[in-house]
Amino acid sequence: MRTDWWATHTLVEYLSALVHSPDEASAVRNGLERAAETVEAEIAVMVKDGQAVIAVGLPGEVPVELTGVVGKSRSRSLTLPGLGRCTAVSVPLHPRTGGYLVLARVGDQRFLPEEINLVRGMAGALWLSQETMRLLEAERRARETSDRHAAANAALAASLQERRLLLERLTRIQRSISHRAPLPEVLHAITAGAAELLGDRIAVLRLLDPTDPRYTVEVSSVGLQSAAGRLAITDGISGRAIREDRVAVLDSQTGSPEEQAAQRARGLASAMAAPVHEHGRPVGALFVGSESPDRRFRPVEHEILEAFAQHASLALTDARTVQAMELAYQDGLTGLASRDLFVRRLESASTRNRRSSRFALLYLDVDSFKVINDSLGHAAGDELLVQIGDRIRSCLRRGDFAGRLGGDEFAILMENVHRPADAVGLARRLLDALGQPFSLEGKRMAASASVGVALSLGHGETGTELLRNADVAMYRAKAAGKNRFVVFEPRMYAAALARMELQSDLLHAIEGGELRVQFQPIVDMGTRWTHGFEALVRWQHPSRGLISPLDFIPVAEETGIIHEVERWVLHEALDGLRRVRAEAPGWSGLGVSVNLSPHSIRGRDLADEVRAALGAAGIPPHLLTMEVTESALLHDNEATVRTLQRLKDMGVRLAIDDFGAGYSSLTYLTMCDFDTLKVDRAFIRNMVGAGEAAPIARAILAMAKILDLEVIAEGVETVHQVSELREMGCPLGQGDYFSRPLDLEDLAGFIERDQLEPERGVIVDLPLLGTLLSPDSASVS
Amino acid sequence: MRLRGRPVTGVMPARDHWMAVGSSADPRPRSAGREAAAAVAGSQPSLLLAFFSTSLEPVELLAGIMDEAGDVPLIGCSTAGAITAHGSADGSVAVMALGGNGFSVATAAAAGIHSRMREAGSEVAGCLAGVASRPHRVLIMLSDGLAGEHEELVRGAYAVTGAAIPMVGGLAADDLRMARTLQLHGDGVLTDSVVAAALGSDSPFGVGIHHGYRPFGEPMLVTASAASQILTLDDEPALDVYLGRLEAPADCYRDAAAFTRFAVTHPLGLSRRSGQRLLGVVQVDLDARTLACNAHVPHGAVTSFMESAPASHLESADRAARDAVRALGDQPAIGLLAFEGIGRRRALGEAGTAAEIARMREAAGAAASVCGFYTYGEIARIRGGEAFHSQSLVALAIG
Repeated sequence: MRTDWWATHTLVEYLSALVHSPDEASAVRNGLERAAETVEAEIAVMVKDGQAVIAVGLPGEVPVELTGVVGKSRSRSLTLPGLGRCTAVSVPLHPRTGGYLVLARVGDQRFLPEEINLVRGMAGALWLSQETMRLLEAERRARETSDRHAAANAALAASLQERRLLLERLTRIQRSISHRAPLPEVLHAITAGAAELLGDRIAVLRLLDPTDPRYTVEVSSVGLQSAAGRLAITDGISGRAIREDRVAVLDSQTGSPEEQAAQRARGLASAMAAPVHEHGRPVGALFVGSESPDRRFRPVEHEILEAFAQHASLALTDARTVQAMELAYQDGLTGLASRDLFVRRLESASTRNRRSSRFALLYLDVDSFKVINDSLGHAAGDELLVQIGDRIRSCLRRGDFAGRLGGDEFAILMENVHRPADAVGLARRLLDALGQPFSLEGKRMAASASVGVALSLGHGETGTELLRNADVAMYRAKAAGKNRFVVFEPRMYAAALARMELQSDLLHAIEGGELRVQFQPIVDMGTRWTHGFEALVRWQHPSRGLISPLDFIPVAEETGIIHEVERWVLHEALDGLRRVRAEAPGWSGLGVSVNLSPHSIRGRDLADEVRAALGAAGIPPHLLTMEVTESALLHDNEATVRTLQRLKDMGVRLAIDDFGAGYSSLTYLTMCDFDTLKVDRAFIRNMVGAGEAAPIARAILAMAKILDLEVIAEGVETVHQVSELREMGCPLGQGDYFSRPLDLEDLAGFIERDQLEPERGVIVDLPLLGTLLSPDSASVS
Repeated sequence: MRLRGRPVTGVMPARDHWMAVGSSADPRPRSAGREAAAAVAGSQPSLLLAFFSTSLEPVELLAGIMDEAGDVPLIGCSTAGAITAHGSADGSVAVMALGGNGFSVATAAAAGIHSRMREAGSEVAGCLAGVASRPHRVLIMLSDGLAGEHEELVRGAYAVTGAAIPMVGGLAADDLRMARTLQLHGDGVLTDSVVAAALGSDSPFGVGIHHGYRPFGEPMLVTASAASQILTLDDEPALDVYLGRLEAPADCYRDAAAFTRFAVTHPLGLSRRSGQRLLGVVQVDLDARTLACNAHVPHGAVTSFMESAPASHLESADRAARDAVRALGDQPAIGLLAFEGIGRRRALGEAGTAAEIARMREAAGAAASVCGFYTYGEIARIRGGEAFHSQSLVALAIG
């Protein structure tokens, strides 16, 4: 169920539908149908004097159970023939008519108080519309009958005109409430509308004084020379309307002597006031007054004033709802706006400033927050966010609006930006403020942030566009080394767009057969025997050519397609191995390695998937090695370790990939029962020479030996590296020196060239293998 | 998927009533009609439903169907693609047959509906009286998707069905040409019409409906509208706001056909009690800068732009089919009749629609046939009286 704003808009729609009905019968039918549709009730019935007049959703007779709920203000359960258990509610069409609108839903879902309020509003509008139509038809009939009834015709026409004007005026007011016009503007439109339509010179809207509800204060008026100031609720007919919660009238024939004296003192001879409500409670009164002693307020005029007062109630309730909503939409941690509220404000600002270049958006992301959170714990991470929120707040100008978009991302909306320097100045202040040390659990901590700045260019940018631009600029700031700000430029978006296109193309790459798997041999550096292969995915894009995994794997990870890609690679890799094993039993000892993205370990049942893939290919688990990087163990590591352990328990081997590129932490090595450690290519590349790489590589090898890990050197490209690694005792290597990644059908050639021997698990029947792996028979291309 | 020249059979005899589906992509209408009907007509059906492309000449097509099926009650309509268990198909015809002692059938048609939607809805719903003896009933309506405001049609029908009898259906389409749609009733080819079949059964029916869209951005107010036309949004020309905020390609501003292709996957949403009701934007007046929708747009309504992803469409198909089947209780489904907004087909692409149909088949169960078509609007009443929808998937499970 939506909140009150939904009810407001719904009433506007409802009234609009009724206004366009051609006659009374269709107005009533439309009114019932739309009331039922609005609250998703199957049945609507208009009941008068205990009898159903018209029903929707019941082609036959209206069951007495439904007319029986008339007068009951709450939801009632009842059982209806053919429909079973239903829930019904009734509201009066108008207090004086004795008519009711009854709505019923099939099932047990009760009508909430907000819905009943809405139905009440619709019932009032339906009655007003019905009366208007009735008058219209009476006028038509009278005109047709005779000119003798000219006087009656004129009265009817006048009454009809009043109601038409009322409907139009109310629709306009509802629209301004829907538009979220400022509350004082809406209340003034109501006050002025009442004065104009009723023809009285003075109209005043008074509300209870928020500081002392024994008094009322004027919030809007027309026709008054000076404000009457604070009035006691016991005074005047406004007070009476509030106290008695109904329309109060004062003229020469009604009202107490005290009231008449008080009005005379204000220069008025007659007056009328209707109560204004907030959430059903009287909180003020709408008042009209006239100096004419002959002024008599007709019943229809009571209704008109009531209708205006109802709209004041609607506007007040709506405004309070907005306030409450903003409170509810605060971020609980930092007290800044939540993402929802921030985006709502941003869109409103962009609509207001559609053709001006006077607003800006800053997107702030805390640098390396994950590391802080993981190393100090979530409580300290939260505390850091609180302090960052405070510092952001301290940097804002009056009118700037900050929100936490989620995690460690914040945004600031600036309106009334006169020059770009205003936004740049705030970015600098933010970086300075966040550059000061933080105190977390008694320790001093350094933090920083990257900020993207997007300026509205006055081209009608939407809030969403501005947020996107600031986000793109923030990523640029991160990529440029963090702890800095970058102002968005359109060319950055082009780059981001290219990335998005890549995402879109990748979606079709698998089914389009554009991905392929290549196999890079892992070689025993002593004997040159092939030890196994690493399966590597390649993307042959139809128009862009070969795209590096370094470019598309991050995109696959962002979009979640990585699961599909990895699943496909796993099947292709195992299928490749199966083909080799099926035709050449001598190769039965060779294994294959498959990379596992940090993003894909969580959120899926990996172990089951791998078990199924192994089963389908008929490959023993120990011939499969799953490679993960250290960063995989950074995220949600309990769940990750659990998943890896399940693989291990199945017999699958585990390798830690690119070791040394990240944190090079023993902690990660000991978290799981790894079998293999792959030394990052950066160490191998820099190993020959006087730098630190060689000693570090040596230390890694020593550590691996202690931990009983098999070691593979990655990125081996030269004979010098081979001899250095052998001298260090590194047994296995992988890299272009031995072989570039090969298509499945080229593996045979590689093995033949290196004269591999059968006892290492390699077949000798190369012609057979060549036939097996010819392009015609290979499924991997 | 194009099913050129391939007969598709799926006869699924079950209990004392059955459902079967046949289709053909033969470009010769008479042969296509024969081929599709031959696959289903052997067991003396009680009702045929035919969904066909406007590329097939309808009189010849109908003659082909009747060559095989004879004088069987029939309703049908032109589409934006047929749905069968084998996928979605252009330029083809799909024929669905229901038969056996467990069914009773009555059909009706009403013509000239553009000026009398409500009356036409009530008129065709009257055929329910012909199956009054069965404990379970459903009204299936196929209406001219270019004829006007279909909420009035379904309100007219609802006045007859009431809350106790479900109704489903789809708006006939013409492969996005937006020129003329056709309806079939018996041996007649109609336009500007609604055709209906009342189906009575001893087994239950279940209806499910879902869409895969969600609102994004700041909502807008319809500040001027006339019937199904949106004149202004937030006091600016509706077309400018719509295309501008959606960053539409440049040709949408000057080419009505390009606009329609774009708009079909960009519906608007109207705020409703339990979410967004979708509003299809179907045509454009490039000079007046206004939009034409497939339903009445109330002045003062709050609208939102809607976005979707293939995954959300698949999810919604799954939910619609499962809801429909769940409503059958313990009874297994013998078939699933689907009415699906054309925008979903374009958003999903060929592979996506195949996946979607696979999901529906899975939800319906191994013994169930699947048939349906891509529409310009869908009819289904689930909650309340509102029964007209856009860009949604309506599934009727036949128990």
